[in-house]
Amino acid sequence: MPKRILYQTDHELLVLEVKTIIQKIHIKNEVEFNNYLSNDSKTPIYWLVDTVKEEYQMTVLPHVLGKDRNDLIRYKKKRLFQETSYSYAVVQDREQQGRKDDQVLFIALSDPEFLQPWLNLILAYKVPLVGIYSVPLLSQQLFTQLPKTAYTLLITDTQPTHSHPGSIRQSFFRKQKLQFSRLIPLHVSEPEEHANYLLKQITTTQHFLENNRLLPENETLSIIILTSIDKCKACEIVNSNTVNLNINLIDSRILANKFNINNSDLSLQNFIATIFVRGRQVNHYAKLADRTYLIHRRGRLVMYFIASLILIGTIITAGFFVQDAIKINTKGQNFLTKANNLQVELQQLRTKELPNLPFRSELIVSIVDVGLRLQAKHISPKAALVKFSNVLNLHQRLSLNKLEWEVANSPNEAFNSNIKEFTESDFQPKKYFIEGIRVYGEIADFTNYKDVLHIFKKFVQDLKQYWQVKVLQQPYNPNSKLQGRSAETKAPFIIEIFIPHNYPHASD
Amino acid sequence: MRQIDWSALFTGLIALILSIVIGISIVIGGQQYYQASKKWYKKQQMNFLALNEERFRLQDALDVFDNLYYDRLQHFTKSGFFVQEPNLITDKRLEMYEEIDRLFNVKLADLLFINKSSYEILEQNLYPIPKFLATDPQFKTYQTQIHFKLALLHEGDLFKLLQRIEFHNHKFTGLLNLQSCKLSGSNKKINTNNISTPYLNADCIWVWYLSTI
Repeated sequence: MPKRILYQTDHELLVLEVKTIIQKIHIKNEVEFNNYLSNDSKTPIYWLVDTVKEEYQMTVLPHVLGKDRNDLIRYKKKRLFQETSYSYAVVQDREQQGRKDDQVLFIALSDPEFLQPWLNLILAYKVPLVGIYSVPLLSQQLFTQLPKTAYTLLITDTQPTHSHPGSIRQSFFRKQKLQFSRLIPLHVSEPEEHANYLLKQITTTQHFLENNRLLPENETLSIIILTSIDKCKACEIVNSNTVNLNINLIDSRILANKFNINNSDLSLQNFIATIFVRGRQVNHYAKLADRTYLIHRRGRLVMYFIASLILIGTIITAGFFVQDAIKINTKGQNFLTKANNLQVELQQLRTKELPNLPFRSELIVSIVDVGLRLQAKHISPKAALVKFSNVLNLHQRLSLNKLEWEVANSPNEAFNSNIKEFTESDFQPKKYFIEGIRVYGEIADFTNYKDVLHIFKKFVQDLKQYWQVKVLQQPYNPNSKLQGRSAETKAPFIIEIFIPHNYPHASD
Repeated sequence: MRQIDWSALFTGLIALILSIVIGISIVIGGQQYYQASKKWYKKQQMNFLALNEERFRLQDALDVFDNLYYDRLQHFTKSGFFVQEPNLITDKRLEMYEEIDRLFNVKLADLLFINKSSYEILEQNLYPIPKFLATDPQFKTYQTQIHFKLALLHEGDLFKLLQRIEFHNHKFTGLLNLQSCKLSGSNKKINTNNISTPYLNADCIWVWYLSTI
């Protein structure tokens, strides 16, 4: 995502528009900045400050967390930097011995007035200001690709411009954490002069660090000079001839390759801007009031997001309605098609000559169906009884005690029997009804039960020639209990005869 | 902290308001389209059902005519099985009672041992029409059981009796069906010289049917 960076030094203001490449715009004065912002007041600004007017204080604070730490840092900042409200604190390390206090770096812009003209314009154009950042503190991140030593002095230089000479920044790091930084103007341009001047300034800074106990005694200060190849060579020669410091010279182009910077501009601005856009940075100096339009922008984005959600939600909801409506329309279309077909059918039906019926057709059908079924049951027992009598005449040894005749809807209903022997598949009550005969009889004057069984079996066989016969009680059951010589001379039996009759249809 | 600068939030607010307005419009539009579709669907459905009903009515009328239902209806109306006026049911029942009484005491008297025979007409109730017939809900059929306890000389007289009742059947409005008969001997030894005593008892049930709306 493209970012817009303001890179401010004591002498110039640069706008770095970081897209696939970094585009530099030099802002000479407020009028130019005004014109620039008037063209684009929407893109958020990240403001990087590289100035001599920055103070550094390393101190230790008791190791507390949360609100206590915040309160403590706030109190300490007020004590250290009474003149400015642009200050920042970062916990760099923790002591390994004693109380194990936190080692905190406090930094501040000692003269924030130099920000004000630009800040006024930023606020006037309501440009979202993401933060104001300290370049020395950001330069910590160069150590991802630099040699790591306990105490390091990182030297970077900036190119001179047409109006101002270059400068040298010396930043002191302990375990790759910034402790101190100073910016020195650079008035020389020849590599050898540059090397002499540089080494002199390094020696001065080293003494300063030792005097202020930032660099412990007997500790080696590792010096990394990030510069161009020609200056590297000059430094090497001067160092070996005179000073003999522990210097590690790094060609800017090599470091640029390590950071995948494909740009001919190997200035510090370019390194810092590249590192800056690749990571997520915490604001150092900007106050809430300075960032008011960033908060407004975020509010605006939240509103856009909510608006998008509302639109998406409502479109989906409406989509469901439309989907259901389409389904209903399809069904309706089916009805319409069917109705059109029916219209054709009805036109044909209407042309036919229809009788003038006295009742609704359903009622007529009901009357006729029920009437036919009841009329069908109007039968006389004479035919069945005469036939039964004829069979009985063939069996003189049998006599009847009682005979029941009944008309019923099904065999199950006949004679009030609850025996559900017939299922719907055996007997279809829609088509048939039953004429039933139940006979209670006996065989008398028999000599033995074998004879009884023979007579009864023959009688049932004769009946089965005509009808379906069910034996409810055998005259004698050899499987039942047998005892002695029975004095019984009668062998009673019960049989049922079912004669199915079918119902006629109205059209029959 | 500065005051809220509404002008900086203006576009966001406009977007939010517009999205709400557009969103509500879209939902209402969708919902109205759905309601309109539903209304149109119901209209088409009602139209179809009305046409279908008319088709069935016409078809049924044709079927009734084609399947001789109409002729059968005339027959059942003429025979008195179907009474159009429910109020007439009571009158018909009284007529039936009179006919039964005449039948029992006059037409069948010579076949019965009248002092040992009796009849009983039970209360009228609804005939349970089988569900599979799916008759018109307004259509009702009533049934009345008539219980005959008959003392007869022999089974030949029973057949004669049944035949006479059959001959007399046309006198009854509605349908009169013999439903059941229980025959039993009188436990007396049959003496062909003694015909003054019944040798056969018959408990028979006739059912009288009448229908109306």
